Amino acid sequence: MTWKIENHPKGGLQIAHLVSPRFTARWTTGEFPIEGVREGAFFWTDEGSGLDDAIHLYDFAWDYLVPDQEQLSQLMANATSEIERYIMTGA
Amino acid sequence: MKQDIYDRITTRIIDSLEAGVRPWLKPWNAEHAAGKITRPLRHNGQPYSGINVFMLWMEAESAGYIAPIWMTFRQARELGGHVRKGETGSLVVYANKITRTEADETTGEDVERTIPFMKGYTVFNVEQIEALPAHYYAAAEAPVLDPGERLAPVEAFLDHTGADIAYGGNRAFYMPSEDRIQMPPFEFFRDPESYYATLLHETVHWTKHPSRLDREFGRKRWGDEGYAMEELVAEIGAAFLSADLGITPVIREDHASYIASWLKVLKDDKRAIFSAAAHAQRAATHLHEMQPASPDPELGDRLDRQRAPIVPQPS
Repeated sequence: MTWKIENHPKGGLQIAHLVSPRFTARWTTGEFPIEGVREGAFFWTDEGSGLDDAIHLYDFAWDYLVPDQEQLSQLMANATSEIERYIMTGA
Repeated sequence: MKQDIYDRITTRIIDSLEAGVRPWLKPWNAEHAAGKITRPLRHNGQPYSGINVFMLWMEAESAGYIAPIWMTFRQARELGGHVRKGETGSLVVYANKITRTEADETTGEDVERTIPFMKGYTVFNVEQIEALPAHYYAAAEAPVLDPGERLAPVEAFLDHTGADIAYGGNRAFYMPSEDRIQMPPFEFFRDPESYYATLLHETVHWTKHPSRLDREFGRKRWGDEGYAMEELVAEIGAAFLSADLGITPVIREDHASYIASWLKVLKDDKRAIFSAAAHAQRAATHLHEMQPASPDPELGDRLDRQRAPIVPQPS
């Protein structure tokens, strides 16, 4: 298992990447949750096909190192695809 | 204020009905390799069900898409494609549920509550997407079956339901008190497809019997809402089955009066079309489940094609 989506201790849901580079991040859809951000200054928004389709990741916690920009883009694309699958299947 | 999903979809269907078009009658001239007549398919070949079927048929009809395959922006990206700039997606819906832990008002103990909800998401037809693998755009080969061969599996499908069908007169109907379908003789129909489409409609009514799906909408007289709702379920269910079995649905002669009664139901209750589509889907699934494990090869091939993934699912 590479990804896990579960409840976040502060409410809402988080996604965890279980292999290197390991990280957890809270996520939501629609409008950017500016009032809910608590940790750090790094966010990732995948706009998808429009505002209703946007997925935002925030409150990141990296286990070791943040990957370089190219790896990061691919990792975030994979994360948002995983979140979309979760949204559409509920699992 | 932003319209909710029920409003958006019901409004679209009402607009279509007011223009005299039944949105669940798909464009039957599709010539994509996935099948001449098919339910809309997801990126992995899985067919959509319920209200999403005719939502996407309606979109395909208005935009002129031939391909029956739809996917999200991100699924297209995963497959190496990209949505063309300026393209607008189509709304589909899914039902889901969340579980919340709340304190019980009387005992104070934590209890888990499951809350169902419906959410929309946006999909694009593959004709709106560039650079997907070639098979997503494949055109159909010329048909090889003559009409007789094509309709034999439909006959087998209906036989396997075990429905009691009597022939005679000039009206088709289901009689609940006798649990029997009454059909005019085959020769009375203008072509075999009209006959089978009518029989599928009545067979959907047949599923309402208490020993099957026990579907009951209350009042039963012509013109009342319960009657209109049951007719809507039969109409949509027959459209789903027609797509599954590869036959062309017929436009009934009482077209205008039915549309008027459906419009009334839909305008009075913005959730009615969702309920009708769900009941229709349940009826179609029930009839499919009555089929033997190894159905006729032709029918089996058609149904398997709808179930089988077109491409392996991305991990």
